[in-house]
Amino acid sequence: MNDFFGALELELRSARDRKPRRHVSAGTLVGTLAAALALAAALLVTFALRSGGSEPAEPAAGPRPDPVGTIIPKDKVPYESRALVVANGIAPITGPWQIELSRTKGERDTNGAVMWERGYCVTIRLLDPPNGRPGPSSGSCGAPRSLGFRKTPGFSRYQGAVVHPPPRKQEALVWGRVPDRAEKVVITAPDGLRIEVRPEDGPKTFPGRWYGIPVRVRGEHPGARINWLDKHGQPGSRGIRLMPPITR
Amino acid sequence: MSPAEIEELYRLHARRMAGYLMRVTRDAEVAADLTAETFAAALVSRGGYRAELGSPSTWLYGIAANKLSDWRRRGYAEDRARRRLQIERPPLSEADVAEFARLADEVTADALLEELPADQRAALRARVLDDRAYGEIAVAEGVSEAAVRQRVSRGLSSLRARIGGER
Repeated sequence: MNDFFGALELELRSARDRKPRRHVSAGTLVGTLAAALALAAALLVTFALRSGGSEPAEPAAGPRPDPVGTIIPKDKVPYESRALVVANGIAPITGPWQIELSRTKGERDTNGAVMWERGYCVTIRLLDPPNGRPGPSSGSCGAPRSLGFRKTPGFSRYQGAVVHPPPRKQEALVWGRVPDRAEKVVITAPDGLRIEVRPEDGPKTFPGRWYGIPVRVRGEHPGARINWLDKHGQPGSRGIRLMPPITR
Repeated sequence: MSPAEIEELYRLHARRMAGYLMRVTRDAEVAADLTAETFAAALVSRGGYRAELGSPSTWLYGIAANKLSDWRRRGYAEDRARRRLQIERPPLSEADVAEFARLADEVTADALLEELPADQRAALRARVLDDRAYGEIAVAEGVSEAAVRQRVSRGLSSLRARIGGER
């Protein structure tokens, strides 16, 4: 049983159905920007004429995360079973997200070696990402012990990054599960980076606490790690290294 | 090459590839980065595979050799293909690190030979493992002695590149 290979296969499998990011030439970009600006100006004029220029615009009604504890039917999710929403949130750039738990019968490779064992899949789903590709973003499958539950409840870290279209703001969403006794989850780096959040309880039907930390990427933070702290402020583990683009 | 064929390649070669990269880099994190990047790059560039130039595994190991070369030059594993596909490199647990070390020990010369083109593999087996003369191999293969020497040379060169030795 191995977590890495199963998780990587899941990543590749979900990526094969996504279109790769397009490389846009500078000329095309300038043309598109000019067209977008012209369209925006036209819309502003139309809006001002219709509203008399005094009424505020209504906020956009985008998708919202399902409440924690929601059970999503199997035909609505790309998993082997129905899914349970164990955590959710809205990140500034990534948008609404939710962590979903589903069951798996396990998987073997063509040589019969176990890719991941019967157990659970934990996946984060982006509901309205700025790149326009909603769906499962990252996660892994395996026996409960392999998903950070090995010292029930355990500590796990996943990470995914989203790049906003121009002006290309970039945000990484670091998420995972922490022990019940975790008071805080903290990201630190030798350069002074420090982000603290309180983990949220999951649904009553499944044990554990969860966290999702949006990290705005403005530059690399070499040596950045994530850890959990107990009620005395003591680190609960040696921490887990973060990945690019947060660190290198 | 279809995405399904890439998936098949992954299932057949992911562990051996990881072991090979671990053997070369001696760093499980780097080996994991390079393994993920190699398969992501294979998925991105699958349209560029040409069967007449070699087997899928040869093509795959060629990608890995390029990624290794980049890693040696830059000092870090690039993540261009992963970023393009929005693939996250899964974190390594302690069990994963142990598994990478075990896989590195499993990579044998015989396993690496399997990744070579058939003509180079046959020539290397005959010359290096069976200690047969070039002339004898040439007669058996129905080619010139020079061709056999070239296959052995290219095969050894590929093996050196794969296990990290200098040319």
